[in-house]
Amino acid sequence: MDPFAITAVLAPCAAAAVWLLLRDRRRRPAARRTRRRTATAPAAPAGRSDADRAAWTAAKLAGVPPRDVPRDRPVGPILGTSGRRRLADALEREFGVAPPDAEALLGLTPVQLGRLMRQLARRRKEKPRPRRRPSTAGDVMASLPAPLLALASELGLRSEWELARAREHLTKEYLRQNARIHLAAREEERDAVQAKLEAIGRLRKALAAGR
Amino acid sequence: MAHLLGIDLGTTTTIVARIDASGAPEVVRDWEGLEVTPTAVAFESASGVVLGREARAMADDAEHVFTEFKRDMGTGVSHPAFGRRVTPLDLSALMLRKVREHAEAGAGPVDLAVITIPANFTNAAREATLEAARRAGFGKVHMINEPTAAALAYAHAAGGLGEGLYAVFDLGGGTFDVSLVRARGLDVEVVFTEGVQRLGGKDFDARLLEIVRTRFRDATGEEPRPGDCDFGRSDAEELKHRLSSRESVRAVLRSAQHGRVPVTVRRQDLESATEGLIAQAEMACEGVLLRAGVDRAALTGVFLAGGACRMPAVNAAVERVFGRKPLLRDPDTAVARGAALYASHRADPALLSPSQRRRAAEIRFQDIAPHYFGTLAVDEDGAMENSVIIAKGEKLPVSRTRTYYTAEPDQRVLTCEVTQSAVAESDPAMVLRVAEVEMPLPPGRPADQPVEVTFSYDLDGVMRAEFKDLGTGRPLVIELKAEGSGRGSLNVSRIRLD
Repeated sequence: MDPFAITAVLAPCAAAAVWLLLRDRRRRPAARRTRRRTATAPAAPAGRSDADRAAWTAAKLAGVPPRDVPRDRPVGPILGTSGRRRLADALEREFGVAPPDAEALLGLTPVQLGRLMRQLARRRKEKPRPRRRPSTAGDVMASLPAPLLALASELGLRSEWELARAREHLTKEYLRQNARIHLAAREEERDAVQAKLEAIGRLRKALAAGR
Repeated sequence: MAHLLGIDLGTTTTIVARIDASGAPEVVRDWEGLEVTPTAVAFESASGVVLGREARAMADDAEHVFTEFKRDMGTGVSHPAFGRRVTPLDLSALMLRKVREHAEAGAGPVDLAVITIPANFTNAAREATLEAARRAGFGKVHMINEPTAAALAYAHAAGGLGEGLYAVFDLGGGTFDVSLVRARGLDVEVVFTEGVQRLGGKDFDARLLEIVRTRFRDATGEEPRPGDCDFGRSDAEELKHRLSSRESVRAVLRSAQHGRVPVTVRRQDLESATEGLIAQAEMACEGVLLRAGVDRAALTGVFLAGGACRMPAVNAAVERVFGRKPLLRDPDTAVARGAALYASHRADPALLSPSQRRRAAEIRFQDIAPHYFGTLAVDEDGAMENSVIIAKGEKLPVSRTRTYYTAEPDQRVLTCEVTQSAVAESDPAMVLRVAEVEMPLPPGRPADQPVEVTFSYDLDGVMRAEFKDLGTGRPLVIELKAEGSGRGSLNVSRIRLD
């Protein structure tokens, strides 16, 4: 066998073995493979989208892999009704801004939650601007109380929409929600639908300001 | 001369009109001599019943007093009363019986009665209303949607409308409806309608009551307690009426503990507290224009019906959303008068006097399907969806047929379902399943056997669904009646969409 070839193969192996023996173990600890259960959700990996971060947060609270959290389905069924407060806390840690502690939170999908948290974060960062006539839904949403902002996200209002388009979308959503009152079998359910319809009414009132 | 009644059996008030000898509608005063009767039923004992104003006066403090039961028509709601349970249907029947007895005491047996209902009443609620009328002893009964009746009344009062498209905004005591109608003279054709089941004057009263309670708390430092402070819903309603003509009103609450507690409420306070309610009505109005594909500039006029329309904020909202000043004329009685006119239109001409017949002949009327009706089917991907067969807004009477196919070889059962929705929905979770019947199929047949489904909706709002297996020629007919209009189970349909 060619001694050159033998040396070319063995030399890197020997060098690697020497490095492994002599490396500084304190500076490079072995990765922990054991999973620790924590009361709080760890931060999502950097570079993810807002929707992925919201899904990650919900997944960690529920103890399921993030890929098992559909981006287009409400997170409520994964977390259960008792998860609202925990979700609000976890989202605050993840995004650095407090979401509304509203029932609507569990009705939002990860995409909607991501959009809501981005709105809230943007609102906190932005300096108060001189009052001007709002021209887009975003202009109105910037000053909405948090529960109404959550509702706007749930109903799929986009901040970049012109006010007229946003109002038309809201009207269609209102009619859709209004039809649900016939599906409510119990009085409490009917009251809940009615409360939601009135909240949509308040949202509409806010959007009408830019008429 | 025929005895024809129009009955506006409202959430909070009942108003009755009849057709006079000349064929014109006139309001019938109730047993206390007033035009407007509170819709209220009070049980004093197992058999002792009090109705109307007397029952309403007891409403704030008695246990067996029932009001606003119209909102629960066609649902499974019932209330205990002296060892038995009473349903909204029972209570409506008691009100209607009293109305019939009073009307017949003055003018003999009623030949035909027309009862008004909100435009978005479910089929179950419609059937429950019809059943209540039957139990009340009415022989022949028809129904008409409230805003449509109001349009007829406005057309009659104006001596016939100029040709054009009109919006009717009907904000009653408990429900809200808005309709678009095309009219010429007394020829009224409904184009589209929307409604909100739980939006009416009583919701405004509740907000006002809340404001007054807050003022009381601010003044005394304590919550108003039942038995101590006597300010109830009827007081709030009266305060609301006063606020319609004044910017601010003062009320004096009498409290056993704190004595006389004066409170002042501004109209602006009420408007702020109710802007969510008014915005809902605005959205329903925009929705009706949107669904009908009509620009508001195409409207010829806007009519108001329902006592709650007297509120200046409501008037302003209507003008804002339709872009023109609405017409307000006898808003309390318009619906009942329109119903009486409709009764003359539907009555057997042989019963009418010559004057009545001449007037009735001028009336033309075209109604529409008030909901989307469909069935559940599975699409090519195996996903279940609601397949609409009769669309809301189709002219009545209507009959539509669609063909579906069985999904599996040797399919033994076909689940025939009838769904209803106020919006065009494909999501099965968002539609009301009003009937579900299983039809047995013969064994041993391959998949893709055609099943013809025909839905018909008549002028009285009765839905008939026929599922016909073309292989055997055997039909299964579902007629939606009050007794059988319960909620269906969640079985998966085995009809495949073509």
